[in-house]
Amino acid sequence: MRRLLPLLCLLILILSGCHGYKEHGAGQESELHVAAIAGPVTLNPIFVRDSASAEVASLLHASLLITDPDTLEPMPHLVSSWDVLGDNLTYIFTLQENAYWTDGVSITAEDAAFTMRVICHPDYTGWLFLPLRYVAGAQEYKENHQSLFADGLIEGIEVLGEKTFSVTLKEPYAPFLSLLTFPLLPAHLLSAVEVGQLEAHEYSLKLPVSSGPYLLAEWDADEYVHVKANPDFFLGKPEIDHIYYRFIPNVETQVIELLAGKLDLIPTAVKVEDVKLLQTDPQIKIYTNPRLVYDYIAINTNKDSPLQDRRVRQALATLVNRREIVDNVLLGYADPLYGPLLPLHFAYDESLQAETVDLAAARELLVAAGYNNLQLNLIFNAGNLVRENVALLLKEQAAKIGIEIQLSLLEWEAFLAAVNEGDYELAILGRGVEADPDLSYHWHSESLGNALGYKNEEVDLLLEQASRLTTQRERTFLYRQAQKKILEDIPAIWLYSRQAIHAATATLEKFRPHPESVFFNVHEWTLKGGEGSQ
Amino acid sequence: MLAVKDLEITFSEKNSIFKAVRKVSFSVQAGEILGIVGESGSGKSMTALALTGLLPPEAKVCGSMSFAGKTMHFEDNSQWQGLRGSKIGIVFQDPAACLNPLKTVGKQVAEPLILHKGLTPKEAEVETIRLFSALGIEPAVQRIHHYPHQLSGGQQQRVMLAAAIACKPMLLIADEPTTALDVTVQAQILRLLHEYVHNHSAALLLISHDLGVIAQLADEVLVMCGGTIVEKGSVYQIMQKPLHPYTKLLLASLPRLDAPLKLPLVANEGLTAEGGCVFAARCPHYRAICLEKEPPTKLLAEGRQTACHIL
Amino acid sequence: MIFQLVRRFTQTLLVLFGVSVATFLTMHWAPGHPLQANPELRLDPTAVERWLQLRNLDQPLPAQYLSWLSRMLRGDFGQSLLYNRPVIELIRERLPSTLLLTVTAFLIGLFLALVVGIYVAKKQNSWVDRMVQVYSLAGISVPGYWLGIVLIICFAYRFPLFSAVGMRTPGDGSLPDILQHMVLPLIVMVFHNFAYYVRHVRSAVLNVLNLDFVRAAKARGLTDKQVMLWHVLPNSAIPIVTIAALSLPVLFTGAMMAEQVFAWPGIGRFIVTSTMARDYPVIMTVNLYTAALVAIANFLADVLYLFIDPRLRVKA
Ligand SMILES: Nc1ncnc2c1ncn2[C@@H]1O[C@H](COP(=O)(O)OP(=O)(O)OP(=O)(O)O)[C@@H](O)[C@H]1O
Ligand code: SF4
Ligand SMILES: [Mg+2]
Repeated sequence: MRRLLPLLCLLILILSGCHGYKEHGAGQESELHVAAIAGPVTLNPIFVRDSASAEVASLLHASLLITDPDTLEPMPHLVSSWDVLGDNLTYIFTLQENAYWTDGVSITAEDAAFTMRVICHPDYTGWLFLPLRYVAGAQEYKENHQSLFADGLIEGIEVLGEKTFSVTLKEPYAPFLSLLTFPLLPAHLLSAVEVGQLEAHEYSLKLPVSSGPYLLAEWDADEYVHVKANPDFFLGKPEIDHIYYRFIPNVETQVIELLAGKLDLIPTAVKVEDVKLLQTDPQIKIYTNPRLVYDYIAINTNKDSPLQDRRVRQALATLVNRREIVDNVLLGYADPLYGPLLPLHFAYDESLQAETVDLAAARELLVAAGYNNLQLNLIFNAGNLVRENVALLLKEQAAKIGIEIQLSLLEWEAFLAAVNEGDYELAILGRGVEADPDLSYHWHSESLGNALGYKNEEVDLLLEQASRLTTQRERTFLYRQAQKKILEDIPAIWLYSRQAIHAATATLEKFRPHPESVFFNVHEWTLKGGEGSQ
Repeated sequence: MLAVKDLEITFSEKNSIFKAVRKVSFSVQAGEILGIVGESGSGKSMTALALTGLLPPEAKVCGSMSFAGKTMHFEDNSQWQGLRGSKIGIVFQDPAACLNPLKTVGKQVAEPLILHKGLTPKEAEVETIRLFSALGIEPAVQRIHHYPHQLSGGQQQRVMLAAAIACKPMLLIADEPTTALDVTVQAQILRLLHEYVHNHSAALLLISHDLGVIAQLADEVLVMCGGTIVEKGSVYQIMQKPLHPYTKLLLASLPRLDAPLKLPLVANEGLTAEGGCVFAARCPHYRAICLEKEPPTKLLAEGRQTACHIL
Repeated sequence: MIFQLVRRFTQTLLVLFGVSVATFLTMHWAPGHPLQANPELRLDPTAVERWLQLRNLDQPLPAQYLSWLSRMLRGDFGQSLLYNRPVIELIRERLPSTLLLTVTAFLIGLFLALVVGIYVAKKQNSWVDRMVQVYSLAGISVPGYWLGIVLIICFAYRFPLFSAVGMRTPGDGSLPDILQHMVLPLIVMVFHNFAYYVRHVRSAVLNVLNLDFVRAAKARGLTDKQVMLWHVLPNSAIPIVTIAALSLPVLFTGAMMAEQVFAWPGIGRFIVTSTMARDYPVIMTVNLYTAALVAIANFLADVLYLFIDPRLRVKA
């Protein structure tokens, strides 16, 4: 033992001396270390289903269009310009003249047409078909296409030249452009691959060819994705040479590593409780931005229950104090929400702000509905402290008017299963919405995304009308009307829209996160003095 | 050759002190067999262990012994290391438990040969075979490769004996060497012990609560009770003319050789008679003085000694 | 002997079959499936259906099980539903880093436990012994997560001696770099391992120390060290071997907590994610492997017993 001790000390000394971090001198390549909860599962941008894969995809791929981070209006990206023909049915797109795949092949209209055929192919299992279903012939292609490959033609998609193509819709659909935010696949590499095999194809793993600001250097199973600046990126070579997207499942570890200077950026998901601590460090800057997500209490009206009575639903809705939740639970890092339109949407109705908490009125409504007291169950998922707090607050409030709420905290998969099977009365849920205020996906009675089974013919009509119009003024008017009708039916209780909170090293400049993508302008980011982490 | 002086062994428990052996002195000559008898718990084994420095660590021991020209103090446990197995050999009561079940008996017997005599393993093996045949563990050449569980109790005890005498110790201590064995085997083991003493003019300390065994073998006898020597004399004197009340009681229970002594009371004497005679609580001849004063050791004729107030 | 081995082998096969059926059923009966409609995402339910179809997950369970079984018997453990890659490949990528951690922690923990356990067994009831006993009881109940965070704060932030994240510095990965990344997770794992093993070593040694043949060996003149090495330790080996053998399967799955806190790229994290994502082929394979390992570990332990104890050899 006595002989071992000096040896042990020596070992510790040697090991602690060799942090492998390289010193950064002038002229050396800059590195940015970004924290992530998990690693991506695929690098193929059209099969992305999780947020890590989406974030990595946004580093590696350039999408056709982007939306403006403030107004969410469609903006040119890989598509440099577009024309809409008079009937609002046909769009002519021109791709960036200097856009190349990383193997030097030009990015062409054929790539765009191929990618869209893949998305419309019967064997495609990603989630991008929804935006393309308005394209003329897309549905037919999906139903009738025989070949295993994404060959043949879709009626509404036409390649007009090397860099130009046109897309024709079945009927005018105003949100269409804002949905063309997916990247392309290299046709010259993948057109000979069966669509059913594409998801598992080596391309998803090795990504030999891509189009984005960064290109894949190394993807180490469970440690990090290392990307390096793409010198041929059509918007110019990014300033930061290397980005390490590092998988650190434990958020406490992430925070400590950021404080220790070994990480440069924790994107999107900094916990509100940690913000104060991080703000004490002058080396760290906190950024926030609104996002296109919200939390709400889903009310199940499809089961035979008191909740089918609108007055009971209204009584519940009258109990919730969103401001209080935002201020006390979310420490201000959220916007209270009173309807399905978000502050980011151009159709957002600012007048819809009033807190309606009124216990006496709620009690009256309940009595009017014929109930003296009532039992309801509320499900929510484990591991989300905010939702747990909301559940407790609601329970407390409801008890005051004679509604006993039974809380059940469920493991994520069990929670999803209960939601999907409608096995609940009240559920605290979150959802993401599109950049366009079009409410159809969630609220049109025939939409696949109408998880609540909401049905109001007037709303359906308003939404159909609105999606065919082109001017924002007219559409705003209709969406606000639809929102009003939805609110009258009280199919849900809207709670808040949480902000993204990012913590970055103070040396990071021009960091400008987009509501939907933290790496929105990653090619512009710089590290002051060329310094990376360490 | 061996002289023990004022050996005292104490166990301290939480709030009481228990003397297992109190101020015991005796000596043995080369070629002599000294028997120690006494009921269970009288301190026989503790005495034997003290002589080899093998007392349990919680035992506090003092006194001294001179052996082979050296004087050693019991307090200092380190002096026995070189003696055990080479100059002092020990045989314990339960041979099955005293053999390591995972090693061949040959290896275990060879250990002292290698350690003390510096033999190579090969030489030690040859010597072990010789020892085995000398002690009647046949066929020796095969037996050395056997594991303890493959041997009978008698053979196991012969193995223990072989290990004990491998280095020709001057002093052999046998702590109830035959208690666990059946009668015919007992006799054989005792004969082997006797032969060894006879052939090597060694001293033997033979411990037993079985007076029959002592009668067969011993020259001198110590009678122990409650950690003291209550009587000492030649085997003839003790067996024929016991003086001490305790010895008389022991002799009275002689027929039952392997049964524990049936004495009136099996109280913890060490505690009940502090300051008086250790036997007082059970003594049929007990007087008032017996409780107050420890009986002094009286030396009688022909080297005989006893400790009792009434004698 | 041969007969015993054959019987043992068939028993193992039956157990593995049972485990695979049980895993298959519980897995499929657990709520959710790998592409369960998540209302937080804008997914396309028809694509989800097609996805299930293409992977035969719309077939009845018995048919699914049989096709899994027949493929498995041909050595094909299937593709991960999440990563779209062969399960074996995914496991093979992650296993070495886990083994690096678990085996090192196991060896260090066991070595320390042997040294300390033997020491305190000899010094029974000394203050060192009491401390070790308290530690071995309390140490197991100290949450590793908490310990990990404390270590990170101390040794990766306040006194930045070691790295707290991952197995190597991005772009490095030399041996010293990996070693210094191992230090903190190892401390957490050894802290627990050691607490667990030391208790068993101590009691195993203590039990033997009180046996008569130890005193007999001393009486033959052996030093304490010789007695310990030649007689006590071999006899303490059976319980220690048992504990060690029981740890074998854990070596393959056992670093979950450390992997989580220290972002170690191992199989434990992979198992957690796969289970949460209902990645059926991965769950099946991992469970089967683990069951097989338990069987192998038991078998190994039995062989070792035979090797150690001659009394068992004769019976067999
Ligand atoms: N470790 C110990 N702690 C406390 N007391 C002990 C310990 N070992 C022995 N003793 C006590 O010391 C006394 C003497 O024990 P010893 O073994 O010498 O008796 P013995 O004469 O050999 O008896 P037996 O004929 O049963 O072997 C007994 O009363 C026993 O209770
Ligand atoms: S001293 Fe007294 S008690 Fe002791 S043996 Fe003699 S007569 Fe009995
Ligand atoms: Mg005894």
